[in-house]
Amino acid sequence: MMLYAINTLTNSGKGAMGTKLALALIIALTVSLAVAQTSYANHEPPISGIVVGVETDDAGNLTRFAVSDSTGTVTTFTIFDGTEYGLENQAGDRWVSTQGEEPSESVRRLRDHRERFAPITVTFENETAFSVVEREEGKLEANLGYLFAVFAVTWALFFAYVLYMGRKQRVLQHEIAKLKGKTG
Amino acid sequence: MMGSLSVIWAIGRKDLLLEIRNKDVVVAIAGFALLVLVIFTFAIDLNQGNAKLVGPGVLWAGIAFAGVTGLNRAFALEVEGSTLEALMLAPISRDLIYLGKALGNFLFIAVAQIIVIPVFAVLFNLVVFRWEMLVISLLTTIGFSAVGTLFAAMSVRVRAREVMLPLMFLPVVTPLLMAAVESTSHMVHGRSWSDMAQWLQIAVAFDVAFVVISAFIFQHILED
Amino acid sequence: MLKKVLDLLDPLLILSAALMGVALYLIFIWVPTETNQGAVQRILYFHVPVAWGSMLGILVVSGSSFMYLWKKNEKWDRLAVASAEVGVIFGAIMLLSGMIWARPVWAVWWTGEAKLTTALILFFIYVAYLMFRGYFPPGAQRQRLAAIIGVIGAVDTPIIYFAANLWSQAHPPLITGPAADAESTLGSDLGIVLMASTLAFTFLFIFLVQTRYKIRKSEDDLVELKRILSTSAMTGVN
Repeated sequence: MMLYAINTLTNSGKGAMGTKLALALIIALTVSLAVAQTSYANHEPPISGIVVGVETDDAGNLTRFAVSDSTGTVTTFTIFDGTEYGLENQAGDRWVSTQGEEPSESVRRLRDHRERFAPITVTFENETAFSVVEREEGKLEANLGYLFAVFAVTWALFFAYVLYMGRKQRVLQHEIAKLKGKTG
Repeated sequence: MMGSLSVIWAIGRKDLLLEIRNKDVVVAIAGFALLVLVIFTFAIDLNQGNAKLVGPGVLWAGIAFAGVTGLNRAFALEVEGSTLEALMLAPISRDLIYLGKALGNFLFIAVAQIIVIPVFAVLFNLVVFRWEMLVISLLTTIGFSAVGTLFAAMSVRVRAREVMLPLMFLPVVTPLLMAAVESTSHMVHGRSWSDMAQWLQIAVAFDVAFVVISAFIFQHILED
Repeated sequence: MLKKVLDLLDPLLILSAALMGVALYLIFIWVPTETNQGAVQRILYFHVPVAWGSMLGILVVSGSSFMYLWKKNEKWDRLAVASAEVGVIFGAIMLLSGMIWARPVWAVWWTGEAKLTTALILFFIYVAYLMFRGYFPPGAQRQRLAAIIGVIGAVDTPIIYFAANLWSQAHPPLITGPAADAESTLGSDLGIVLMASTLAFTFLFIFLVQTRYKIRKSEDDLVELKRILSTSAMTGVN
């Protein structure tokens, strides 16, 4: 009976489990780090500059706009219903909306920015603008540190816990080995 | 019914008689709470405005910390004399033992407050001798002794009992502490009963919940 | 037999790792950056699922504590310890990630908002639960008393929430940051990513609890075995 009990214990306490667990977490972390890195490399880098042209259709809705960056290169962007805006007026009130929701307000806002020479940042792909926001010194990336901190804390704590469980398991195995030696 | 009440009273009275003889627990609670008050009068510059602002918080935090010290002391006496084991041998139901012990602790904390609150009124220059104060103080003390008795009995056999009791007691009584501080704050600002009604409701809910649950659960602590 | 169970469990590990991969893809590549908060908004996709995990932990601890007091079956106690430990880990991540998010968005690390206060107090109660177990000599009494703390925590939860809610009304939370009351510009995308991420973290939670449960069981078996060995050595029967 006793030997049977020891055998079941040995089976349940196979050290492989702790190692497997750690391995799986390492893989998950590596994959996620790789994913995190490519996520920003994947998109074309956003362009910042001042608005130099605003084009509308007959109904007065925005169709295209042009931005001149610090080197003087002019890029023209088309828009779609999902284009997001986060633009401020001179008083600093922020207007947050999408092209689909308020198709004519965007014209007014962009013209206002053109007149004030107020810089904006545009994220885009294939000349279609995804988001048009007030230029705030790299705001989108500036807070990346916080995101990194959360990510690091999350996985550090999970790792610490797995380590703790692994240690418990090692102690267990040691004890079982001792018992086995005793009963011979 | 009469029988249960007399059992509860008998246990409470036993603790009380012991306390009258050596005055261990009440002195511990009152002394500790008074020191907290005095230290805060140095730590904070007390002009009239912020006395009203911080006074209630200091008072109840002091009483909560002091209460823990007192409960530790009360159950240390219990361990020294092995009286809990003796009580268990008696043919009485466990919830009555609990209620008796809780009654004793309630009386200790209440007596300590009779000393502490007038000193608080003097040091912080606030008007506290009002019916509201009596109600707040009663409700808070019931809750403190209900939870405190349960946890103190639990931590009798624990290593590092002095650390473990506050670590369990303080987070659990936080809502009651909030209720006490907020309604006292309403009182020192001279507001009416209706302003503090919601807080008193929370305190009542806390007291009812924990007196009932603790009495019910106490049998699991003593069984072997 | 146990080995078979062990093999059956591996799919759970694979499943949670795969789901975590999908969730990470959605979080970092698929979903667009929220225009008000910028990159930090992606913290939400960690914070909310982890908070859900810690609430799940508390639910399981109080449920199995209650079951232990009622049925006195060891397996409920093991489940309670396992989910308390994992729940506290999730709780710590929840609190830290919440603070790191609040700093750039609300302009404060911490505020007296009702949910925050409740989460913090509950975290302390379950840390006390684990410490109590650590300090108490092993045996049936420890399990009973720990279960009592679990039940007390459950009873306290609604009262804490009501009090914290009332308290935050009396002391309006200090939220002054740039995006304090701006609505999210993401719409349904946000829901999809949150769902995927929550699913992934839930499976991770279940997996960790299960692993801890098994280790706990082996520890109990070992203690029992030692007891048998010592008694048989004493009586001279082997």
